[in-house]
Amino acid sequence: MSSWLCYPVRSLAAPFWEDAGAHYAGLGAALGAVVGIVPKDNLTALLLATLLLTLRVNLATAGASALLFAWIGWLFDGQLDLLGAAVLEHERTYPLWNAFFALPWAGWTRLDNTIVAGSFCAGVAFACPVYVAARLIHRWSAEPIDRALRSRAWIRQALGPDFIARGATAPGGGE
Amino acid sequence: MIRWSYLLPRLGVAVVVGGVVLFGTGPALRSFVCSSLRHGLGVDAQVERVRFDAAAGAFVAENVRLASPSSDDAVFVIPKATLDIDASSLTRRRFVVDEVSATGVEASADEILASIGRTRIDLAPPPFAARDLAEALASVELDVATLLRESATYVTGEQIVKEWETRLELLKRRAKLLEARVSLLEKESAELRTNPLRAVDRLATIAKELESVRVESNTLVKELKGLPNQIEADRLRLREAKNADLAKLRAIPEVIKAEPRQIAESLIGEDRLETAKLAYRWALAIRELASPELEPERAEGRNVFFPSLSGEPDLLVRRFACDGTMQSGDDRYPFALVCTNWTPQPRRMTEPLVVDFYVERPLPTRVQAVIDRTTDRPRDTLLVEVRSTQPVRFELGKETAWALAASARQVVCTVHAEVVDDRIEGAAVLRHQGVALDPVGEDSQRSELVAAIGEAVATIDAFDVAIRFEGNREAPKFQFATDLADRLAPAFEKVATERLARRRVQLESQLAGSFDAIEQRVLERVKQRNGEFAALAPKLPSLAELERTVVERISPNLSLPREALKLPNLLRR
Repeated sequence: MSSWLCYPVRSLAAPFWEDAGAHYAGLGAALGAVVGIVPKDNLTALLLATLLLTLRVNLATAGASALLFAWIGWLFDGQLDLLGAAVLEHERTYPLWNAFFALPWAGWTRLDNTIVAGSFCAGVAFACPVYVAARLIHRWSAEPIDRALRSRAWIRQALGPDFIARGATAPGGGE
Repeated sequence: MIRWSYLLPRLGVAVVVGGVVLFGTGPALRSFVCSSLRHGLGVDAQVERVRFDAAAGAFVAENVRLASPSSDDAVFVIPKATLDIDASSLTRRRFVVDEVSATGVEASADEILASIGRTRIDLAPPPFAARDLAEALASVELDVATLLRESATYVTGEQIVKEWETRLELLKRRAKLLEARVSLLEKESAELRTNPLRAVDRLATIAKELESVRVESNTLVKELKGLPNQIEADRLRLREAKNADLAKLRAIPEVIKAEPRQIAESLIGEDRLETAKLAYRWALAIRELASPELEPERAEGRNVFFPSLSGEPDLLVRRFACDGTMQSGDDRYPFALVCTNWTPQPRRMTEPLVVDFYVERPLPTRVQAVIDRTTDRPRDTLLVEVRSTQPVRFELGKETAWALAASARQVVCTVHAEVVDDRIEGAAVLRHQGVALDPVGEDSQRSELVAAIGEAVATIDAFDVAIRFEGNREAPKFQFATDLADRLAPAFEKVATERLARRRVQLESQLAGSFDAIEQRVLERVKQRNGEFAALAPKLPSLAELERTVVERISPNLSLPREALKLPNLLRR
């Protein structure tokens, strides 16, 4: 029971002690950004969320990223509208979109809406920078955060034996 | 050997999924149906239950209650409605309903008609134009004495007699004055003979006085010479007056005009007007089925048009069939409605909305409408037919002498209207079939005419009354026309002309010689007055003596017009 309760904490801390933690955290942040910024009442958001849950990414980082980018999307609504209109109505992309919307289920993606299309494009465009940024943040902050985590007994207890065992070999390991 | 460990979980999952589909979709569907009806038709909807009928492959809604947002009373109560959806359309984000059918529907006619407001057909039937006929009849019913007394001949004759009396009286006075002056001169001449000295003094002034007498005498002679010409002029005046009287008499039948438009207006009684109103209102109600263009709600952004996605409507009902009973007050009667190609996004359609509606009472009414909203210019074609179920009775010309008690076995009202944008153009035709027209004659003096009109209208079996309307849809202009007027008008004209011409002949025969008699009487009167004036002649002065004693002796240059002063001779000319 306690293990199940501590899962989110472990998941959030995992990037700082797992071998491939930084990579998964970066992927989670990137996918979370796309999911977060796209409006949720459509098939696009559903597919992105499914993809996020399907892939092996850090869900805690993805969730945090989604929350952050949902707020950012709300802030930049007007710009996203303009971006979506530019993407949808461009003379070169318009026939492609038209062909896309002729496909079954394509209509449910709501990508014909300027906000949805703009936010989706912005999310995809931001995915790579978000991944890189997440990796950089991990590199700079992994060691001090790991040290801080290990310095507290209740955190060690919460994160479990794997965390303690990995401590000696981890990049930021204390022992 | 059955692998229960494999089978049981999967069976469990299948049961759960099936249960969710069968029982769990109801609330979601119910919410969806209510929302769609609210947005699509603008009505408040309540649905007791929605379920999926697997056997029929359709959704079934039970106890649907639709109410107008402005009223708490239900407009429609539908015990059972089935919804056959084209599932393949869902993959393209469209909701296409192949057929919606509702049976046993209970609808409120009062609520439906109240929701569309009242139409503006407020007409007060104007007074019947053929009142002229009654007036014309009244004018010829005058007695001959009155007619003569008011004739121009009589009035002119009286005037001429008065003029002659005045004229002769004046002449008489002037003649007497002249006589007196001559008499005075005679006396003075006798006196002057006895006194020669005074005669010499008098000679200086008497010449002027004699000249004055001579001028007055000449004037009198001229006027007397003009009297025969005056008589001739008066005779001409009398003849002109006589001709005017005869022309007026002959013109009497020509004042009778049966005005078609006004006959039509008088035919639109309250019953017929209500029939036309009902048809018009049902037409407008049906037209309201075409909802305005609606776009799916989206809080933000806008939807870019892509032909592959937005070329067809998001919601389309290919066929909607509904039947049940309609309630108006305590009266219940059946109705049926079939509607094809309904969508809240008609501009994405190529085919217009077609509505066929039938309601049994208050009068059997059928409305067929083609409501085209597929282009920028809304264009509706409406055809409404209302039939009366009982014979219709009405009365024509109530205020005239020849009122007709009319009845029609059936009245069929057909409204054809074309509405483009806000302009409406069309006509309502009220066809009266099996018509019987019976004249009503209360006045014995006119019964002959009423009977004649009865003969004229006996052949009329059917007639139409048309109300043409054109103009703004909210307040069109109405024009009335009827072929009854066209049929009645010649009949009235013929009857009235015949009867009145006969009456005129009678009058003319009664008046024959009357005007001549007036003329004769006037001339006799003039002659009589002339005679009275001629009697004065012997009393005129002795001109011969005057010449001899005064003029010739006293003034050789003075010569009185002796012949001119012989008035009696002149008056006899």
